[in-house]
Amino acid sequence: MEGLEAPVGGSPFLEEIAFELAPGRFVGLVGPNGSGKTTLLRAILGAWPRSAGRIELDGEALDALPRAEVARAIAVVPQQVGRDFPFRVSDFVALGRRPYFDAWGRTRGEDWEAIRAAMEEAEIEPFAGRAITTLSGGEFQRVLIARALAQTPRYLFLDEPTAHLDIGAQLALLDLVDRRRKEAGLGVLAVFHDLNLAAHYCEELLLLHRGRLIARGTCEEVLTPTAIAQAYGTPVRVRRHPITQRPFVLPLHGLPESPAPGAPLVHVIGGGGTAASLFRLLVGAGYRVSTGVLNLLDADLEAAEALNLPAITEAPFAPISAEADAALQRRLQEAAAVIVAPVPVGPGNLQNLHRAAEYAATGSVILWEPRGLAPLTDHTGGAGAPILSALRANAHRAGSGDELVALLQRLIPTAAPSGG
Amino acid sequence: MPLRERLRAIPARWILLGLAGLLIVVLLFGVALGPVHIPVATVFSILLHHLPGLEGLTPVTWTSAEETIVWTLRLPRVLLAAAVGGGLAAAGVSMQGLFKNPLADPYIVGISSGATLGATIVLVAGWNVTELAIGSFVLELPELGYGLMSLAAFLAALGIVGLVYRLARTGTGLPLTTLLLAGLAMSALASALTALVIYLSPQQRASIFLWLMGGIQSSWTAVGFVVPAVAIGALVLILWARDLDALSLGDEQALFLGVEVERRKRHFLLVSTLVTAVGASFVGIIGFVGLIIPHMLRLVLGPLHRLLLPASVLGGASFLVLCDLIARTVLSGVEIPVGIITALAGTPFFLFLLVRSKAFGGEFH
Repeated sequence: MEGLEAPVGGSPFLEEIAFELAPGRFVGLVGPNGSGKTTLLRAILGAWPRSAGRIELDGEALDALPRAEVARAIAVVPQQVGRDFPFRVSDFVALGRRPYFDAWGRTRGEDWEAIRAAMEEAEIEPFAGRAITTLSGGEFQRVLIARALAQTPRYLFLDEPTAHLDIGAQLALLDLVDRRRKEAGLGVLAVFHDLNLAAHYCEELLLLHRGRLIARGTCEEVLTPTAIAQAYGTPVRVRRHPITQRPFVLPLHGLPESPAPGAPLVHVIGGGGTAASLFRLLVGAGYRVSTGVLNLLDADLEAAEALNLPAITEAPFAPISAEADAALQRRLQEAAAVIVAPVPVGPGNLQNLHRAAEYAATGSVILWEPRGLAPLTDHTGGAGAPILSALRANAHRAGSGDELVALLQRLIPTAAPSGG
Repeated sequence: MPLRERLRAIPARWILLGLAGLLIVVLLFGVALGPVHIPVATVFSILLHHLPGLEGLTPVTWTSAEETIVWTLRLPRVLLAAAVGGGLAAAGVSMQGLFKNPLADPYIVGISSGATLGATIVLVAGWNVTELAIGSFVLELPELGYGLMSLAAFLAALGIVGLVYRLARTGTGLPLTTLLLAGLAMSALASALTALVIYLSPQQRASIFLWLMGGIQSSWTAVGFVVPAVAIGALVLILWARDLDALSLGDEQALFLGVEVERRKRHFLLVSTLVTAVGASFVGIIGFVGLIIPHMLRLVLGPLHRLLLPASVLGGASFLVLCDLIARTVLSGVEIPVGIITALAGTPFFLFLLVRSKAFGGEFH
């Protein structure tokens, strides 16, 4: 049978772990620092003690194979390689052919071809003649990839291949590996630190925690807030990447606790990202926060959802419908105060401002006018002017976070805010 | 560094041919020059004359004294020097690659102190006899004592390295740091024992001291042992050159590149030890060759062992022949221990390279 079956057991630190890597699959190994990702790779390859489990490489026991045969099947791009000697880049890549040499160490035509193709794929020909000791971390990483590709392996192990690379270089490097996977059926097992990068490339994920496999499956199955919180000890929200539709992990670290259910409700009218910073501020000050009406895909809506705030929504680019307006009115009856962010006012969202102006006649409305944002402006061509002037006449103003929180505490005396 | 770039652009085979040519020239001069100068043409004729089947080819135009000087005194001497120098350089390259440290030398795991201890014991015990008495029959064997000393030095060197190896190896492998530390400790022990033996027998101090500084003899027996040992050892090391490349990146890297790491490490250690010990047992401890020659050549040729290893063998051979030539000619009537010359000649050049490469922004490997 084809594939790499790795039941790893009898190993210090690692618990029993079993998984398969089929040709052409991209499997990601994720987990916090010290969870055993690198150790697992090393255990499979025989560089870490392991006494139980028969690891099978395309149906044969890996331990019984000569090392050269293992190296012809599996190439490794390690996390770090000491650069004690100044090998020329082309010579270093040629070391990838070591498992193919006969006893006399002769280089044959197919060796040269593999070396040339690997250097071309990794785009390292421009510095082929330089010493590896003179390369930057990113350049050397590409040289390591080229050496692994020159090995023409059936399986490729990547141990945090992108740890020292900028985002563009990370994607370029993983694309390169992914291309080999699609074209040559390379099975890839890659250690990732960045869960979103992992979700972008992997068809399957293995989540390790303290040497144990705590989740295994598709990215959707593994990247759940519960599993991630258990492994990494930090709260996250898992969304979908707007374009690729892959799971996308948003860290929630440093975000305030949810306020008490009985806390006063503050409704925020915003849009286009003008209110996003308010949500965290208000939740942190101990208020329940709601927002709307916002169009779907609005930046403020994304922010509200990240904080799990209730929002009244409308279809993208559509004006506020009667149902949404009714929902807004119900919400405003419940609200102890309304905050209006400096949103550009157009026909689509004028109804929001109209309801705010109504509310201002009897309740507390605060205009949020932070420095750096243009104040509330009318773009309706005149229809909004009376509504805005009515609002301005009755509303309070706050220009900074401290000012806003102080104002709210004065206006809603029953509030017992915590934190902030 | 333009010189280095230019040198690295030369195809490997030309560099090796050049170094081989240099060695031949140095060997010829080594035979021709000395207190008695013999023209190179005469040297050629005498050498040809001694080749089997070619005796009659050249008319005998030289004196028998010249023939003795060339064939009995100088030729074995330059050949021995070349073999020892080549062996030391090959072992030096191997140790530097194995220990991933350009400052390792062939004596790093205790060969020198072991060989010294063995030789010292034979000297002090008075076993370096030149005749063997069986009943009333006395057999004159001028090389027997020398041979016994060599044998003792060789066995003691192997014994120390074997002990170091046993101490350092674990169930699964051979951690190089432990090997290095065990080598240091055993060297210190053997040196202490040597010092004790020397202290207890003051009359032998001078000869032990001479042995310690290294000296090359005119002995065909030594040539018979050292030349084949070094030739075979160096060939084997050159065959394994790619594994040394992989090992110089670290054990794990080598493993992932398909090298049977622990076995290969043992092989390198064993062959390097044999090559070094066989030389040390006949000529004593000659420092700097195994450190400086590989280092210098790596600086100009790069670290690829397929080129560096054979180049070091040829370079080390030429270097030691030259040093020995200086040792026996620079002061008339007095021969300076060759170890002093290798240090005196090698160190300034080494330091020059060091300073120069520092000025060019490091990368001194």
